[in-house]
Amino acid sequence: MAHLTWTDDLNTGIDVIDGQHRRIVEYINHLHDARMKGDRDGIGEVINELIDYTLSHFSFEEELMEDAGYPFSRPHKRVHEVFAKRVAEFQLRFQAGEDISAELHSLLTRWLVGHIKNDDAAYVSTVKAHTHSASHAHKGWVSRTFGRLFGT
Amino acid sequence: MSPMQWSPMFETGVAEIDNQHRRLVGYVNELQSTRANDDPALVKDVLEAAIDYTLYHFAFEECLLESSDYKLTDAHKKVHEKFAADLFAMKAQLERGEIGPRQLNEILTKWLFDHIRHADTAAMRKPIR
Repeated sequence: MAHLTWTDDLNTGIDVIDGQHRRIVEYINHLHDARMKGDRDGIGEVINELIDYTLSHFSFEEELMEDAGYPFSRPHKRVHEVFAKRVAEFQLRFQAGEDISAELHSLLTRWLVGHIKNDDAAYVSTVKAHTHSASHAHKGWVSRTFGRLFGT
Repeated sequence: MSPMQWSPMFETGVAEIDNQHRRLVGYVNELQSTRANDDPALVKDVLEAAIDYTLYHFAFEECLLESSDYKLTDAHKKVHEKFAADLFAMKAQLERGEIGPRQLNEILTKWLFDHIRHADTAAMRKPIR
């Protein structure tokens, strides 16, 4: 499988979320590169970074949804939890010496594209409406939350 | 078997859940057209995507049920759990050649039809909040 390329249909229209999704795509591509090199340490490193970043992204997205009053924030959050558990199982299998990188790569690719195109699309209109109604306050909120979760 | 058609009788009254069910119907139909092309690798891809999405849908639906006053939430979750285990078992059986895409398609069509028509329409009947 080749590198994932960002296409316009992956944009949600919420810049901060699109930036994070793009970053996850980069990580998925790093995983691909490490696999191609057959570099087990490199693969382990990318898996850890990828999971860490994805969990921060989930937290950010959850706060954004809650803050905007999206009525299905809780079920969306539950979906994140279930997915995080699934990925953590891969991490454990990798640490136990199993080569799960191909399986994980294909799961992440499918999940990211499906999640962006379908599941995230559901909250976008609520979040955008909220952003427009409180533009200045919202910008401050985004940068504070971003800084707290991603340590920037 | 003809493609599964969406019908108003599948509607639960909760738009998000109906949309997710529509997408599941889409996967079952995609599996059927992939099977018609006789490409085992594609069948596997579609099945994997269908499993991912089913797990997503179950998690979403269970969370809604828990926050409602639906009495059979635990039983409904058990049914989900059993079906999720069945899905992984079917994937393994498919990979070992013990079941064919045709059987898989029939099982999934039947399960989805029964589940949406009976279990979910009953579960979602009460206002969700």
